[in-house]
Amino acid sequence: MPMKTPAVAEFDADYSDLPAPLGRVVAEYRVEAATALAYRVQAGQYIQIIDVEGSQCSDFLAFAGEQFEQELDATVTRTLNGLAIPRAGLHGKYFSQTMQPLFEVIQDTCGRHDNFLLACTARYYEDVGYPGHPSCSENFNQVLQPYGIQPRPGWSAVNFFYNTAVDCEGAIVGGESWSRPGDYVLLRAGCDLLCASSSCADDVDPTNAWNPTAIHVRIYAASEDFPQAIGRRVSPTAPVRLSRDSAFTPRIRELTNHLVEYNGFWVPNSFANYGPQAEYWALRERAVLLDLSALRKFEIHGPDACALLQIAFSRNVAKLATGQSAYGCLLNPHGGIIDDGIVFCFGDAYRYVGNCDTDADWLQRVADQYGFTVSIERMSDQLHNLALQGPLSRDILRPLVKFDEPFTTLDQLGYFRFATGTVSGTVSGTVSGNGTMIPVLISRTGYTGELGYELFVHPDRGAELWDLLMQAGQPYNLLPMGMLALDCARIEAGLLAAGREFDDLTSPYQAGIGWAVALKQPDFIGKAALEQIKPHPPKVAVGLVLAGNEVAAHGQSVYPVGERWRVGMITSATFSPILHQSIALAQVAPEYGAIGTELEVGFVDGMKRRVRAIVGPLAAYDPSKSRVKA
Amino acid sequence: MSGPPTVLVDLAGFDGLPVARALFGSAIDRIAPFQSLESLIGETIPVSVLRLCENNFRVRLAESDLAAFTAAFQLHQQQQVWLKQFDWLGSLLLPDQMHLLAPLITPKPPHRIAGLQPNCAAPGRINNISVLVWRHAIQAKPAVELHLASEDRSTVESLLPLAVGDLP
Repeated sequence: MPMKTPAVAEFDADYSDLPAPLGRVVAEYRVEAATALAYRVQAGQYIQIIDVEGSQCSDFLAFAGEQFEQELDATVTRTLNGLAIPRAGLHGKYFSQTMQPLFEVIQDTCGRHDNFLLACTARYYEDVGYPGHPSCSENFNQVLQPYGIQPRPGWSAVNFFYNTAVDCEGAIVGGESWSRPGDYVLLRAGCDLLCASSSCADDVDPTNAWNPTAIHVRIYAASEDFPQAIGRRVSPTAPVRLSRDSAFTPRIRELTNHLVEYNGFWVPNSFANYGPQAEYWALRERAVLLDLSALRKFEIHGPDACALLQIAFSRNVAKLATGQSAYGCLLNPHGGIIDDGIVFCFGDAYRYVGNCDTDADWLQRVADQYGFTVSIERMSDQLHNLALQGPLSRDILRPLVKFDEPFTTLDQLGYFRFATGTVSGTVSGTVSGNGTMIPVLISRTGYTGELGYELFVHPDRGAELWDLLMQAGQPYNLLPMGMLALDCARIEAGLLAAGREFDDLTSPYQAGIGWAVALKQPDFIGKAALEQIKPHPPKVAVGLVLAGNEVAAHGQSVYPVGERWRVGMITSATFSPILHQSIALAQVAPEYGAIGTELEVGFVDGMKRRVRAIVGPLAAYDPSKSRVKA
Repeated sequence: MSGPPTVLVDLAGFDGLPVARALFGSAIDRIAPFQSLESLIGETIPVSVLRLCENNFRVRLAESDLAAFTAAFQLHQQQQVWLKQFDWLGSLLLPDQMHLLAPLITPKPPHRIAGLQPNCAAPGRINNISVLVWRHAIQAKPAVELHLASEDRSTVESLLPLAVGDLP
């Protein structure tokens, strides 16, 4: 069936209630509240489905083939993606019943949709006392009838903006949509499609906030090239922010297709032709280069900069010399970890490098509360960073680095010390290959358990720095490293990950970084609570070495030998290539945290198979930190 | 590319990795899924070992060595691991001409066929038929193996621009 220009395209209306178009619009449609419409798109064209007023679901159908015989299949889609709902990136395609890709999610600013339930049906409304209520399924029947598509009592649809989830008991629970005015999903058609979009008619429950409103659909030309992106809101008031590339990502994309979204950035999981094992061994034996630009950076200036950090940060910042840094955490009043990070001392100014955009808001609130005179500058867009890690990292970097006065040489740069300077060299075959000098801050820190350096650079010079370091590392067989190998290395080294080992309900004493709390300081946020927690935290962090080769998983329970009751939980686990053992980080009741204690980890359903585990230090690999301090 | 007949055998289980380490050496720890290495069993039996996931491995060896290999494997019978030959799994042996082969194969993301290095493998499809492409040396000669369902062997063979070797 030949494709035609949609007869109902609406170009005349002036939609002042919409965000600006993303590109060249070739057609657009307004789906009025509690209605549906059908429209055609051609292969490669983009479909943007916009929730105009917010909290409004839009069910979506797509058909391909001469007789529209290919249709969406939610079960196929879930199975092939391994996800409850596809998301932008590697697993973003929706498939037909014959496993053909129909369309792909390119961008999504909402992040919560439904791929389990039917578009709302007359049956649903009948069962809750509204016989005759309009439904999306019936609306679809009507708009699809002209195309010869037979009606159904319920359509299996992608229900965009419909907030459902499967709870731990297997129930599909739902509630008000997460979407806000202007939130959208952007799809790319993989083939010519007949589509149908609804504005969900449900006004009898919270699904559409009891008030169905319009949905807007824009079709963009296939010649557009919209990047894949996931939209995140980091605070109730922050605008949605799309995942982005770092300065190094274009280089990384040349080496791998295996990128995932992490903290707002596209980061590599592993590299083609190497893989996590080779990357891991390169780290432990030689050197690796990894992109850690997803870290957030904040400059803290002003006469009270030190005083602010003394109150907000867990370490005694006043003790830091210029060029020295310290790892610690931002705490809330009950002693929970808001974020972990490193404070760099520049003399009368400081830099905090952590994980959250909201750290600046928090620091500003604290400053305001205490009447401090400070300015907090968000620097994440001006500073991207690479980590050069591994026992040969110093050898690779040494000939490239020249430090500014009064800093000395790379060999004299101690652990948790940093210096500014330049990295210079000639990258063969590049325009900038004539002895380029790249301003950098080099910090002797890392997240791998090996000797290493982190290099902070302006994004404009990022690609050059990547090229220079990769070239300089060639004689040492340096490899780029992805997140899979990094996760293995950091678990071996007993290093924490946000969301795994801590959150804002976890104290540093439970997370295993009690050493990073300067409890002798006269005052800091969370001190009173931590003084109570320290003598007997509800749990303590330990390392476990498991018998056998099975790898545990986050959330698995830890038991005393032979008991049914739990004493803790696995937070992270991996198989350690260098130790040849299955290891884990866990948090257990203090009574079971002594080194040498024998415990059990519950596998499968927690009862079917128990695996013995011995409590050890948090860092199974190099617990004395001799390698990072080498 | 003729030579003594060879066979494929698969090894997997909870203890797949430690058994593989015992059989093929500690270098097995250093390769990722979809990578391979050449090894000697008992210093006499040459094998190519492809890692398929954490604990799953596929081995190419001379048919005449199969009994000795099986005997070596049986030393680890107390561990949770199996050794199987799949009668439904076929293979095609091709000369190492990836530039001719790559355009035919749609890789499963995030894998790449173009630029596939020696001792690497990738899943993909030829005319919607599933194949596993494995680039490695066979009898010391660079080669490419396609693993596929036995029933698809002749179909895929007819689609290839390369002469197929004489592996089973």
